[in-house]
Amino acid sequence: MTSAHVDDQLLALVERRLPALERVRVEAHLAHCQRCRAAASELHQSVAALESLPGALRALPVRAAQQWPEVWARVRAAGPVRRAWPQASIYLSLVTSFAVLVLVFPSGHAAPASVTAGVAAGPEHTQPATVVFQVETDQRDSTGTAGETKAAAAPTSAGTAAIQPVPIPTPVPGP
Amino acid sequence: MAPKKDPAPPTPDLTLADWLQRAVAGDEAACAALYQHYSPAVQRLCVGLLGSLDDAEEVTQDSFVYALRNLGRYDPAKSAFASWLYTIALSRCRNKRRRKWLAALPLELLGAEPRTAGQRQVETLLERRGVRAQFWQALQPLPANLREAVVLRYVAEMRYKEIGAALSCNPKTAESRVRLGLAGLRRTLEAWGVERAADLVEQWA
Repeated sequence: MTSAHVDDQLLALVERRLPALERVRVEAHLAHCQRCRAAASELHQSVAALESLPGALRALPVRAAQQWPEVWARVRAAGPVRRAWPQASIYLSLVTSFAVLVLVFPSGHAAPASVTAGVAAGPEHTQPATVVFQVETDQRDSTGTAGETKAAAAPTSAGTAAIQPVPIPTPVPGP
Repeated sequence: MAPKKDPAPPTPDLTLADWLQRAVAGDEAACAALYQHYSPAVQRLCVGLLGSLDDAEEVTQDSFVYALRNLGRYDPAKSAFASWLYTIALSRCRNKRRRKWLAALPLELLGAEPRTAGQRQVETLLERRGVRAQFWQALQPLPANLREAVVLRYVAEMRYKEIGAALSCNPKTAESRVRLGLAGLRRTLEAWGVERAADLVEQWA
């Protein structure tokens, strides 16, 4: 038989994952190809040996029951769900606020000092307008692999945090 | 290998979703039930990845502390709950290995035996169950990405789709890593004079 070797299908064959038709084709090849047959045999031995591991590892002692009080204490110790990147939301809100200010005050119009300081001082020629931004705080993947140690104590119970209303002045034409 | 599914829920009258809902709300009994139910499997995975029982217990604890505080992040539409836990544990095992490797580096340079009591404990227990320590040790020199794929497949019994998600690669790549891992295992055993991997496992001898 001159069909191509079936290396890519051997693992699926050994793990009994090949569809029936494909299996027939691969087995037909193995019947005539000593090289692939030997490879399948080696693979079968390795996989069979590895498949015995879960059963053997179940004999390992598991002290989960005794360790639960400690685990629960650690879970409780840190309080509510931690935010992975508390700084990220702060930076994002600052950038967004800056972008809004740039849009509202194009070049040539200086923003009042009280506005840049985030304080609604009620200047004569401005009317405060409140804008609230919802910023996603979940900046990492669902497994939380990155930056866990950076988690700060900033408590939040939801995945979003409302940034404090920032008074945005609207220029009013003078008299 | 049978497709991996979540183990049966902690009790027959409550589904996993019920337990998760209670646990997210802060119910200690629900959290404890999840921990008791899933921690043995997570610990086995950690033993497979770290080779040491002591390290595995520590990482299992860390993984559950994180998981129980972040249950709200778990999305049932994306993965089985066990797979989510395994992915958390995998990340922590990587960190643990990195830290231990740095700590053990001077010993290795001096030619000292870096094996720990926790590693020997695992090997002894496996020997009692018919798995020769040599077979277990042959898994350890595999490159990290191949060893992870092999352990996720044959210790955690995950499907390739789940392995791909855990290793941030596609299922075909995950399968390819397992295949390469098996080839590496075989090469190691051959270098040690072992012709058949099955000879190192009692039931296949």
